[in-house]
Amino acid sequence: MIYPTGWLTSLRSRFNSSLKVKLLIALFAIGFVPYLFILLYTLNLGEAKIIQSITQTQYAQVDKIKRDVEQQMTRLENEVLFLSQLDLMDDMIVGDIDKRISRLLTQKKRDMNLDLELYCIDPVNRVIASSSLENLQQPFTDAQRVKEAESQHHTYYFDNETINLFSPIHASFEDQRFLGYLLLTYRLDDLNRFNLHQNSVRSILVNASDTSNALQQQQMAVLKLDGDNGDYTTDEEMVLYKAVDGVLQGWYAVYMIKKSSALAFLDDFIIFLGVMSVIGLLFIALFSNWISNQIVKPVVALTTIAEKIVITEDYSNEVAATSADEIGQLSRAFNTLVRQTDNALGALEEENRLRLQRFVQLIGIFNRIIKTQSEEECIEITLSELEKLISERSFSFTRRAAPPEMMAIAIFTRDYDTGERHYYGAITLGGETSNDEYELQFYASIGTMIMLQLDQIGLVKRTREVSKAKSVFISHMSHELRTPLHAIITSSQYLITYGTLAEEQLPVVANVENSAQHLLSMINDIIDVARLEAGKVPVAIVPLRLENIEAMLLEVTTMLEPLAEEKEIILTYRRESSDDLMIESDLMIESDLKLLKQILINLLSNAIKFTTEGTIILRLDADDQTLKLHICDTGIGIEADDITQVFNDFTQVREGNQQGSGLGLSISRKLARLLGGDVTLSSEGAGKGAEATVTLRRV
Amino acid sequence: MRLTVLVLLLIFFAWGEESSYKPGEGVQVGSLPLYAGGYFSLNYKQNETMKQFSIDDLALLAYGDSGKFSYLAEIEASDLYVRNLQPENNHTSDTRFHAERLYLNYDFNDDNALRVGKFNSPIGFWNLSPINVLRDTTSSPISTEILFPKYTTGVNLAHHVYTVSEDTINLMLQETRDLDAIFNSGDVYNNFDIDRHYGLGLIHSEGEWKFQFNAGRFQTMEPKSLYYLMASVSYENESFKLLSEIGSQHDNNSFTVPYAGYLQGVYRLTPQHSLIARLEAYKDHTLDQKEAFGVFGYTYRPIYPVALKAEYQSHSSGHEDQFLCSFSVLF
Amino acid sequence: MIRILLISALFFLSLDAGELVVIANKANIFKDRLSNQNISRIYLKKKRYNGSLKLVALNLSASDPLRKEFEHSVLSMSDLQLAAYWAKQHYQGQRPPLSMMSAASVLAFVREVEGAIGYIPKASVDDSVNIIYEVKTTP
Repeated sequence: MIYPTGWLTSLRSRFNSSLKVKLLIALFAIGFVPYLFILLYTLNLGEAKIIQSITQTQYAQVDKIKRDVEQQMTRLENEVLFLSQLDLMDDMIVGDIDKRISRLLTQKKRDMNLDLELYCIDPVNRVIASSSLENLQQPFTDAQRVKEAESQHHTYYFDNETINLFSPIHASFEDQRFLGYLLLTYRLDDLNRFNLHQNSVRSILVNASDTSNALQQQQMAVLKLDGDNGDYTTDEEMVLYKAVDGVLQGWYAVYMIKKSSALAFLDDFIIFLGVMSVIGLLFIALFSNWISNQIVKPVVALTTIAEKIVITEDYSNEVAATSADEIGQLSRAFNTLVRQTDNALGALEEENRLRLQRFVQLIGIFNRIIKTQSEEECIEITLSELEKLISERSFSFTRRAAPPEMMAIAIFTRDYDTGERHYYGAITLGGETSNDEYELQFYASIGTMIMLQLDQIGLVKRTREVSKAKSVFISHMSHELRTPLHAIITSSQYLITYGTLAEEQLPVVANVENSAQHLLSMINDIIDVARLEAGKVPVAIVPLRLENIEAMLLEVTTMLEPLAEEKEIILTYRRESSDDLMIESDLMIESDLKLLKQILINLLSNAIKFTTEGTIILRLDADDQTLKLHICDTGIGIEADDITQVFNDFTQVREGNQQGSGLGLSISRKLARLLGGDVTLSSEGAGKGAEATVTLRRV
Repeated sequence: MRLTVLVLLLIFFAWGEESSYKPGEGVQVGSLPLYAGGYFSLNYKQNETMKQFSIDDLALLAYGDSGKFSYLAEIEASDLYVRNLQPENNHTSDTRFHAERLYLNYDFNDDNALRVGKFNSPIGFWNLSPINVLRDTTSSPISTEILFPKYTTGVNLAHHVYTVSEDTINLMLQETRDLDAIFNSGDVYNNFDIDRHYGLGLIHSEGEWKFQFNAGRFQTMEPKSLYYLMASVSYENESFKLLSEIGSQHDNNSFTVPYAGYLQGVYRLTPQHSLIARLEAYKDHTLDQKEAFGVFGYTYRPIYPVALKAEYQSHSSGHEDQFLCSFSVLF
Repeated sequence: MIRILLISALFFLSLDAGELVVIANKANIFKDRLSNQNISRIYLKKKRYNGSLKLVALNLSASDPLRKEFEHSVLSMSDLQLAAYWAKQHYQGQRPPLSMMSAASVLAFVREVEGAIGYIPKASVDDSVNIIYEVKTTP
């Protein structure tokens, strides 16, 4: 059962998925069921009709035979009557001496051309005249039978194989004097001429009332005759019969037709219907297929186009809508829908583009607003940008309160001291008052933007002012501190050198002098920072050759060598001389040699300060763009996370016995940047030493 | 036309079936003493204004006798088919059959007979054989047309006296309308429309001479009483025949037809061929006509019951001359 | 058959034309002796009765010379006149006399039928009938 189930399922799924199959089946059913019904009805009706028609036809045949026989007998009767009433029969009186009657009878027999004889019998039962001469003057033996028949008001009697019709003859004179009888003897076998003797059809005439004839009896035994007419069917034959009227009363015309022959037409009809049903089935199937194709074709076209549109997103495709029916309407509606969708998408895209443009414009506005340095510039830029953006409105700025009837963007600024907000002014909008929420929001955000910018401008101004004040204060204070410090140092040195100090007093004074020296250096650093920040460091940029730099480097090394030796640290200078590093002798930079020297002193001092043992190497190298001075030590090193912090003012990563202001690296970097270079620091970690690099741009 | 075919078939049948048949004697049919016959004629008429073919007098008759009774019935279609060639080319047909004659005869004996029904009035020589084939000419003398009722519906009593001569007295009585329904419905075509007729006829026949006198009164439906008087004489031998009749008609006040008569001679060239000349004159107050004219005719009978006739009428008034010919058969 | 006819025809032709007689049945007794005119009237069916007995006139066949002679001598009418007469009688409903083929049959008929009247050669007459008229022939 798996196969048929699968087959059924596939059929069901096909049925459910295909409109065409549904239509096909529906159309086929609609076409074929009534057709089949009609065929069956026709078959039923036709069968009845054909049988009826066949029966009628056969009845007509029987009837024809019956009527032929009756007509024949009537004709004979009439003939007898006619002859018996001729004037010529008056010759009976004279015994037909002139043989006129005999001649007439002979002539008559010849004319009728039948197996019959005509006689004239006189009242004493002699044959007076006859159609055959040998009977003349013979005695008539059936006179008794004539009398019997006459007494029963019959004009005929049956003999062995003949029927005898007679009519009395009366004279035309003397009050219809009786002259005798005219007698016609007719052989019944002759009636066979009306019977049919064909292969499939035969007919017989039987006398149902005659029991004397053996052949008749035999025939009657086979036949089932009842009533005036009827029909019945045996295994082989269809039998129809009709009773014969008139002289041959009691006789039947029986007609027998072979069933195969009688019903041949019915068989043909059934075969015809069968063929018709097959042809009809095929035709309806083909027609249904064609019709469903015709119906579904535009739908398929619609579907194909729709799928294509979905895949390609090309809305320019159209379905060809030629018909005026619902499908045509659907196709047209579909085309309209596609066109409208296409238009809508286009419009949406255009709108998006516009929106993006607006957005870009807005960003531009914001950008320009952000870049403004002063409040006036900010307002001015805002107004001009707004007018560019929204040409249908006019924008103006007022410090006073905006007129209440006008749309306006109120602008407030923040006072950072008090934290309060103050009314700054308003941008008034010319043109009609709008209730569009989005427009209002837009103007509100513009307002917010302006306020933010104004706040920023205010904040920046204020911060600069504060920073400037701090630098001035530090500078002033350092200068003021240096004077007493110099006095202390000078006094201490004097005491040490020229005083008369006890042995135990000397280290104390020396400690004073050291502390003062340290304080002074710290103050110098702070002054340097302040000067750097105030931009008061004079820079004298000159072109420097490599030998100038190397000379400076040697000088610095020499200068700091004693400090290194104090801590038993080896300080060396080395010029990079590997093969791939080409340091051209014509290498030149533009820099301030004095400041460069200070940077190096700072960096070397730092290296010595944070190194307890090992070496410090000053190394020079260069590439196409830059000249680099590397100071590598084997000191305490620095964690990678801390590297950025050490360049901040007043920052030392780790407190140790190495005292310092913590401004060394910060000052070095600031100086280097002042010279167009930079200072960077790298370390592989704590305890792994550090390397500071001064980068200078080559000319 | 169907009837023509029928009649022709009947002739054929008659000839074919009974060897004893002779044309003009009818044929015996049926189980009763009944003889059937008939006649018809085909006419052509031409005068200054008209040319016309017609089939008239198609009739079937049946008669028979039994003992002293005898009967006769005749139906006739008059102007069965008329084809006009001039002045207009058209045709009319009337297939209605009239009850032309229908009577029962009883012979008391050889001398007296009574007839009841509709029959030819026994007046003059022409009225007892008023059909084309039995006439000498296609036309009948005007005196036999306008003076007396040609048909009587009623009783006729005949008395014969046979001595050396033969004398017959006929007494006609009519007290009713015509027997034919079509005739009574207004289609008056061959008789006066009468409902009363009393007539007396005397016939004296001796050798080759024959004299006849008739008088009578009849009443038309108008009603109008008319009296007629007619005298006839004929002489006939094997080669020729002379006929003459004269009569007049009178109403209660004056003559309606002061005179109408003719003199006719028939000369038999051979038994088949005859020449006829007839002079006629009449004066009719009713129609306000007075005329005299001559009729010259020729008749050919291959056998007596078949006649081909031609005649020319020459009128005194000019313009009414006409030519007639006909083919007629009695069977 | 034909031979019989021929023989009888020869037989009649050989007879003297003057020997024609009119015969009647024995029962048919005429009160008066019949004249030529009476016979003529019977054969023209103007006279149809003898008392209450209806007469049956018998002719020979149309082509028989005896008939011709009879018609000429007794009826004094030509063929044409007779034809015209019987045509008119047919129109009036009257039949011509019966005709028989031979004198023998006429004789037999007259013998058998009471009202029958026929004419036959005198030589053929026997005692079974009455002669009622002897035709005076005109040569």
